[in-house]
Amino acid sequence: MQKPSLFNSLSGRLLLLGVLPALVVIAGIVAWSAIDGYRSVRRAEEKILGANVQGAAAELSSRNDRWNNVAQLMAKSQESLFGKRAETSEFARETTSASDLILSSYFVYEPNADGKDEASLKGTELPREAMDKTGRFLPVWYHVGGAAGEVRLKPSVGMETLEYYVVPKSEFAKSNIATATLTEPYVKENQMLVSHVFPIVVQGKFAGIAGVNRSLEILSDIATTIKQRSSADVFILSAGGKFLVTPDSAGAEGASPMNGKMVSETAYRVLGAQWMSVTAGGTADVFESVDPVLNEVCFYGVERTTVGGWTVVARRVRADAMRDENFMIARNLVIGLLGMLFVAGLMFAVSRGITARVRTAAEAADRIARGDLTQTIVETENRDESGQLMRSMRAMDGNLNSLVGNVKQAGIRLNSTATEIAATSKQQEASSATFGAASNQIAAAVKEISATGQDLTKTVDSVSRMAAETASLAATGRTGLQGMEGVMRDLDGATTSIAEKLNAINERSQKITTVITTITKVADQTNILSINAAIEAEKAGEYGSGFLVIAREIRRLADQTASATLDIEQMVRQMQGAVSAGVMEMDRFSDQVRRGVRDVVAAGSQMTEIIDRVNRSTDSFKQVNESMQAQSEGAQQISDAMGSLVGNANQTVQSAREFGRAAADLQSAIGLLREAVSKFNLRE
Amino acid sequence: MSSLAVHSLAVNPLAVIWRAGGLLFSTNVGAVVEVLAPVRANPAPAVPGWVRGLFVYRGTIIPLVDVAKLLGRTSGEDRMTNRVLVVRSGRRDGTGGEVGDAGLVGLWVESVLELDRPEYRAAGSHPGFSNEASRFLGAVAETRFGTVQDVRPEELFTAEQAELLWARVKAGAS
Repeated sequence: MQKPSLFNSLSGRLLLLGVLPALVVIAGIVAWSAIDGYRSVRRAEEKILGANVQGAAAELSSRNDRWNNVAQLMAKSQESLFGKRAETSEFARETTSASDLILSSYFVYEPNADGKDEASLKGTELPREAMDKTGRFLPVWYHVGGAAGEVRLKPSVGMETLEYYVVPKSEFAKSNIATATLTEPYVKENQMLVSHVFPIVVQGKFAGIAGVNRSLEILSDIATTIKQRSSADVFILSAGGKFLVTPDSAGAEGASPMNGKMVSETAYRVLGAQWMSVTAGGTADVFESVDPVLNEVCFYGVERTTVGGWTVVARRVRADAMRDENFMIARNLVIGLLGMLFVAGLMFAVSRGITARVRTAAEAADRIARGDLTQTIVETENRDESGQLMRSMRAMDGNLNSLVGNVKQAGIRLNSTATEIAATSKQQEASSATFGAASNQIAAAVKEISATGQDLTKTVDSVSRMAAETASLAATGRTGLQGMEGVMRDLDGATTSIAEKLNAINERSQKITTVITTITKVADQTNILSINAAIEAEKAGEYGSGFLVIAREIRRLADQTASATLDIEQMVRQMQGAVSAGVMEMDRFSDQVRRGVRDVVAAGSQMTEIIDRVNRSTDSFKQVNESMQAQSEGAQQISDAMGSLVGNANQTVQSAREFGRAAADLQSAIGLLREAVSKFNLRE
Repeated sequence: MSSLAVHSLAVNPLAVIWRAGGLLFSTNVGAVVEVLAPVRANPAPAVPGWVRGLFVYRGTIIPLVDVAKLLGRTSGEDRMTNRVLVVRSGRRDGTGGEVGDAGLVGLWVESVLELDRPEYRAAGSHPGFSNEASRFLGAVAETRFGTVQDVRPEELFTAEQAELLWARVKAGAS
């Protein structure tokens, strides 16, 4: 017996159907938990980064707003102090002294805004540092050597060019509304600072500005706080796109080289544009991108301050955020694989026992199929389905052994009997067939004789009948022809007489024509004569008048005569034409009639001859017919007798043949049985 | 007919109504000597087509003129109904003497229809055209045969035609 391949074997299939699905399920669970873990990490990062940057942005906004309010307060003081230069300067000095966070505070008037520029120059009330050469009021009070140091006065400069003065002035000119201005950060004496400025408005006109400068070192503290809270690096950008804080400066090392630079001049120019496009308010934006400096994928949380328009960015490297999650996925994978190995081992052990028993049963079945019943199947103690199969196979083997032995013996006996029957039936069939063939030949010959005799009788009969009919028709025809001959002869006589009469008419009409011509001539002459007579009578005058009338009458008579003769002449001419045509027609007709008479006479004599001959042959037909009829009847009787004999012989042959066929079938069935049984080898 | 005839007799002279070249003409019986049945004329060589030839009338040779051709129309075939009007042309020869028997000439016409008295002066009648070619044609009148026009034989031929005719007659006579 051939050993099946691993895929087709029972143990192979058990392993395949048990282990493979388990592997798929475990892989699915691991992949699912990995994706889910990644999603939850991402959501957590979004929340943390978003909350941090939102908080930072809110704090920066509130600080900017507060310092804008200080500048606004200083400007509002001018509602009562405008023009009071000494008090105003004192106000600025006090403001600077009030807070360490203030680097300087200042007022700058428009040239001669209060009309006291000249007076101030001449007077001694104000120190020279509170004004320029023209006496314009512009005092700046600042801390010397940092915020905690001494407070000093100096004149303000760069009003025409610097943002702190130019922007609020132009803004007010545009809208006529006083609003606070936060300048772009700038570096002064190694310090980054910004100016908060508010315009001074007197009687609706721009009269100058009030403002404070403050340091931006406080921003580093905010960045440090966020770094500690969420391990995220912080960028802060000004409204104009200048870096205020970068991650390097968030540590303790001090100022970063990128601080104060435009973002478009650094490696962050692409990413920076994306950051700057975020709008203020609502939730913070969080997205993933490759950091151009770290060259790693990072999460970025971005928010913009409502006051000052600064952009706060918190950055977290994705690999750091995902570290715990990656460990968890690896752990799941290892547990899954171990579980799978255990299942595979268990299945292999179970399948080995079953496979051994099933293989034994299969080998026994294969042997029986080949017809080998010589070996006995071993007994088994196993109680499961495979053990049961083994026991059934053993019982089947025993039963088959005894059954096949019995069939073999019966087959041998049956075969000898069937052979005898077949031989007998063959002999019977052969003799019946010979008899049937001979009878058939006789019957066919007799039938042929009978049929021929009948055909002949019919033919003679129809010939005889046709001869009689022909004779009768010929007789009728002869009588008709004789009558026709007489009629034709009469016709000939009549046409001759008509032709003669027509000729006579023709001659007479010619004579009439001559007479008519004569009459015409006479009438014509009479006409001329009467005309001449009338002419003469006219010439004779009164004596001739009577004759004139007579001449006219004669002329009329002559005219009438001429006209009448013209008519007669015409009629005679027509008659002559008709008569001539008639004569010719009659001549032709007469010829035809004569020819007809000749033909009829000839036909009549031929007809008589035919009739005689036919009458003579009719008698001999009758005699032939009678003898043929007698012969035909005799043949028919023989034919009928032979027909029934042949039918019997045929039936006999048919029966013998069927019997023979049945015996042959029996023999072939026995043969098949013996052949089938011979395949089995029995135990001795 | 009789009352009209009597009336006509009283008023108009009798005229012969004849046909030539398909047209109807009339000639006063005073100018007509006799009406003859068609005669055979001896054809004369080198004469115009309207001269049929010469024939003997009561012992005198006179010319026979085809009126249809003289009028510039075609003459039909010769028939038994053709007539010859013997008229006096009243022409004299070039010397002023009378020719022949007062200028007798035979006029070959298609037929003579009747003798009648046409009312030439009746209303609607036409005095007729008068030019050199038709100088012999007189007044026009309506008759029962149709419109007829009077022919004056004495005006029938021009001097040249008369010369031609009578010179030959003289020659023929001598």
